[in-house]
Amino acid sequence: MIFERWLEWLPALLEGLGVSLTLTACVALVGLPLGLVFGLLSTHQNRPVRTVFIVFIEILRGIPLLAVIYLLYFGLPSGGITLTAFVTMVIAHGLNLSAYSSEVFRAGILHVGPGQREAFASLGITQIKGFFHVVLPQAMRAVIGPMMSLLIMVFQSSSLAYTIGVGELTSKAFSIGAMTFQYFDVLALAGIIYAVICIASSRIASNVEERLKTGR
Amino acid sequence: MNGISIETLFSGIGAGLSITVILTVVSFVAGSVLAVPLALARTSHLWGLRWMAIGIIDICRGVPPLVWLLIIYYGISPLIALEPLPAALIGLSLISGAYLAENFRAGIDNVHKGQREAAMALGLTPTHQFWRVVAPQAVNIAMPPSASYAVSLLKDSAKASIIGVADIIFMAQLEVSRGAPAVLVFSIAAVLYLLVGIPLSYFSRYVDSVVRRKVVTV
Repeated sequence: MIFERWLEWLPALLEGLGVSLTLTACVALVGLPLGLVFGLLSTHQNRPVRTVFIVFIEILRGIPLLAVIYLLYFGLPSGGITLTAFVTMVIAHGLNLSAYSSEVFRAGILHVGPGQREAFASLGITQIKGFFHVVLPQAMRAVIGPMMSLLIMVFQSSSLAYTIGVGELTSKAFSIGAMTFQYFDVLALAGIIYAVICIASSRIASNVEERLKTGR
Repeated sequence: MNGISIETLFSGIGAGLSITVILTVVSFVAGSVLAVPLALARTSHLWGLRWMAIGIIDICRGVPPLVWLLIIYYGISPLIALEPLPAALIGLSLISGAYLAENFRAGIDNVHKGQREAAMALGLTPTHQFWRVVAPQAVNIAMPPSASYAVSLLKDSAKASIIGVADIIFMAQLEVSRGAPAVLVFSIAAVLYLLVGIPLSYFSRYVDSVVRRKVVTV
């Protein structure tokens, strides 16, 4: 029976799921703050600064994540830098996420109209203080929904860590498949685990987005 | 670095370019064909049909692309022998079908309600109302997000290298295994993706600006 085998494999796969979720969290911790910085620089008043960062983000977004992973994983050791597969994955994926999230932050910042800036400037509030107390809170509202969808994509793409042997969900499933030759059964179970998490969290994300839109 | 020049690397890695383009174009076209019945079922009045479509779309999008490719290549090949390329094409077409179906659905939902009412008032049959009035406008609305989906499909196609499809990434790995420096090789691969991707994303922005000028939405 397939279900008996699934029960037998489940502990190993859940352990892999833990690694996938940890990986996703670490990627978010690297990619979101970096994305905010890139988002700010790509909306900078200084035109050359803005252009440089818009081009940089465009390039980073145009390269498949897999190419970035391989570049760092196989390329860094020749420069004398040896990182574990997990750390390599966090850096590669974090860079990739920063490019995507910067676009979301940029849209959020632009969403807050110039009238807001003029208002706090006329109240004598400094640029930096005004940004953190006036612009950012309002931008966050527009940012949270798309950001949640982005994090679901990050969780899905964390499966690429399989290629460099980080022991996450896909790696675990594949190695069980290689041992038992029951690739279909074990990969299907992994697929179900991914799908359940992604479908549930995208439902939550669209609910949250809907609520923020109506302002409650 | 014996006998390795940038030119030979470019032509070696570039040999995978046509496969990358084939993967992207074929799965985008096949996905668009799959997406039409899916989007129609998704917007159907019959709840059974609607929920079936929601289920299919959610499962296709909820399972990561890489896992789909592994399931199809390693899981199904004992039953039906599949080469890597057809396996990748099947997987990517399924996924793009689901994503494009969602775009088409949004297109259908966002055609102004008055359009259908006007068609009804003119005495058009329900079939004509949909195909002659709603569908052409829905296609216009669905076009910009679908064009930008093509850009992400191009990048998704890189995952096919994992099951052994000889695309850009696969050829790059081959060069690295022959002793070429990895940083250089994967930078060249990245440049090749940008050479295809940047014109494609400019095209998608162009489509967006054209459509914005001519579509009336809700």
